Amino acid sequence: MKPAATLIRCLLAVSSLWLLSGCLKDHLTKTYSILTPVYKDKKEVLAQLNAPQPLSVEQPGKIYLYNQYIFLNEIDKGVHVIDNSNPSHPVNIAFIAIPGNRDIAVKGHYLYADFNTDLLCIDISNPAHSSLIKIVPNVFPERFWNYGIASVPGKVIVSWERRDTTVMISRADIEGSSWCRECVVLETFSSTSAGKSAPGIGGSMARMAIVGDYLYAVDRHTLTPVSLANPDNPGLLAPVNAGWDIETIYPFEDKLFLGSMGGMFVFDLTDPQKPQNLSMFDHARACDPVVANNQHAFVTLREGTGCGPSKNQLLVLDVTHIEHPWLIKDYEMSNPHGLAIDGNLLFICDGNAGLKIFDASDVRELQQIGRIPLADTYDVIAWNKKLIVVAKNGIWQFDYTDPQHIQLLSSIVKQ
Amino acid sequence: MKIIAYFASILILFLLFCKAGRAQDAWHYRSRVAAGLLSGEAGRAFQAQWISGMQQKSNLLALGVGYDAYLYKSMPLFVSLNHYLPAAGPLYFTLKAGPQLILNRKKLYDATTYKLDKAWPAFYWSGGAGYEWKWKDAKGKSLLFEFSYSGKRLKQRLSSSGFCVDPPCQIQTETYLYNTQSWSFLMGMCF
Repeated sequence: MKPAATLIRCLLAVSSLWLLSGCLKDHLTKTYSILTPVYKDKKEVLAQLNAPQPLSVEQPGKIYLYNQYIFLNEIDKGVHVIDNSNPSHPVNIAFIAIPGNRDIAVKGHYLYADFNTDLLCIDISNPAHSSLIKIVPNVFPERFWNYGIASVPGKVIVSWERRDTTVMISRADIEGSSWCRECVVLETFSSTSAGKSAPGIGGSMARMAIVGDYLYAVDRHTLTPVSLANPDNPGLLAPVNAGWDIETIYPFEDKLFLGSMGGMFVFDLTDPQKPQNLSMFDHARACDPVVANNQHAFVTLREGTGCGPSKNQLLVLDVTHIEHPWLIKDYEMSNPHGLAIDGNLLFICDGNAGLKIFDASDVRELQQIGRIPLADTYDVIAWNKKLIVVAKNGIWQFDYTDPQHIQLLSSIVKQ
Repeated sequence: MKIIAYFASILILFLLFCKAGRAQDAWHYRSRVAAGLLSGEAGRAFQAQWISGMQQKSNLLALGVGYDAYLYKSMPLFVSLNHYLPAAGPLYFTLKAGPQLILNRKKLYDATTYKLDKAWPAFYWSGGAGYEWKWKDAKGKSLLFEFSYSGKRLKQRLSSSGFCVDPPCQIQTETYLYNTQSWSFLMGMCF
C-alpha cells in the first residue's frame, strides 16, 4: 500500500471523530437525598417526654456528666440517661424524647435542654419518669434550618423523610460540584452543654454552660444568661452581644471562653447577669472549641466544614493577662474537635486520628504520650482520672490513672 | 490498590503463559505504542496506550496500560484481544477491557467541602478496528492506525457535613455515576 493512501485513510479516520462525536452522549448522574421535615404539635411532643424504655445509642451528640449520671444527647431526638455509678458497667436507664435537642446541662434535679428556639427545664428526680417544669421561650433565637426550613410556631420537627433522587448532570456540574444544592439538611446553630464548672461537667463543644446560679447559652451572635436562682423556674435575662459566629462556650472560674469562627472571646462574670467582654483573640476562620486554665487557653481549629478553609491546628494561648491573650505556639493536627485538660494532661479528639494525649507541662513543647485509636472522635470529658469520649458510634470510658497506660473501662456503642 | 493487585496477578499469569508459548515456538512477541485522541460529548482529549503480548497465527493476546484524559484523567489497565485479517495483517479487530486508576480524583469534586466516602472499581472498555502498515525494509515494524468506540465507568460517593459549625453534624452524601463514551483514534508503532 502506498504511503499516500495510508495517510488519506488516517486523515479520514481523524476527521470522522469530529463528525461523529455529536452522536455520543455521556451518561452522568448524581444521586442525592431530599429531606423533608415532619412536624408535630409542640404540646403533643412535650406530653411524650418519657420514652417507654431506654433507647440504644444511634447518633451520639454532646455529653454532660453530673453526679453518677452521664447525659448523652441523641442528635435531634433527645437525651440518654446513663447510670455511671460503675464506669466499668454503665447502664442506659432512660431516654427523654426531645426532638431537635442538641445541648444539655444539669443542675440539681433539673435538666436544661434546648428545644428548637426554646429552653426546657425538666425535673429528672426520677430519670425514668421525668416531667416538664417550664419552657423558656426564645433562648436560641437564631436557631434555624437551612434552605428555607424555619421554626414553625407551635410546631416542632420530629423527623425527616428521606427520598433518594437521581438526576442527570453536566460536565460543568462535576467540575463545580460543591454544596448539595437541592438537599434540605438540618443545620445546627444552637445547642447546649457546659464546661468544667460547679454543678456538672460538659464537653468543650457545648453551647450552654452553668456557672453558679446562672446558665449561659450562646447563639451565633448572642450570649444569653438565664437565672437559675430558682432552678425549677429559670428566668431569661437580657442577652449580651457576644461577637459573631459563636460556636462553643467554656466556663473557667469567673470567666467564659467563647469559641467563634474568627477567634476566641473572653467574658468576665463579675456581674453574672451582665457578662462583660474582656478580650478577643483573632485567628483564621475555622471551627474552634476552646478550653482554658489559669495560664493557658487551648484552641483547636479544623477545616472541612463551612467555618472556613483553615488549617487543622491546636493553638496554645497565654491568658495570664486575660485582657491581652497572645499566641504561644501552634501545632499541626489531623482534624481536631473537642478537647479537655486535667492538670498537665491535655486530651484532644483528633477526628479519625483518635484521641491524643499530650503532656502539657511545657506548652512550648507539647509531648504526645498516647493515642487511643477511635473513629471520628469529637468530644471528651476528663474527670477524676476517668475519660468519657464521644465518637461517631458511641461513647467510651477510660481510666487514665497512668496516662502512659490508659485502660478501657467500658463502651456504649451503636448496635 | 486492589486494582493494582488484580492487574499484577494477571500480569504474572500472562508472563507465565508467554514463557510457555515461546517454549512451544507457536507464539511470537508483539508490542504496540500509540497515542491519539478521544472525542465525545465532553470534547476531545489526549490518550496514549502501550500494549504487549503474544501472537499466534491471527490472534494477539496482550496486556495494556494507558493514559486517558477524557472527562477525567485515568490510567486504564486492560486486557487486549486482537484478531488479524488475514493472519499476517494488515487489518485487525480489537477488544480491550479492564480496570482503570483515577489520576485526578479530586478534580471531580470540591475537596474543601466534600470527602470521597466510597469509590467503586472504575472500568475501561474499547472495541474497534485497526490497520498496520508495513513499509519497505520495516524489519517487523509497522505503523498502526486504530479507530474504536470506547467508554469509561466511574462511580463514587461523596460525603460532607455541609455548613455545620456545631458537631456532630448531619452527613449528606452524593453519589456520582459517570458513564462516558467516545470515539477513539490511535496512531503509533507496532513492533
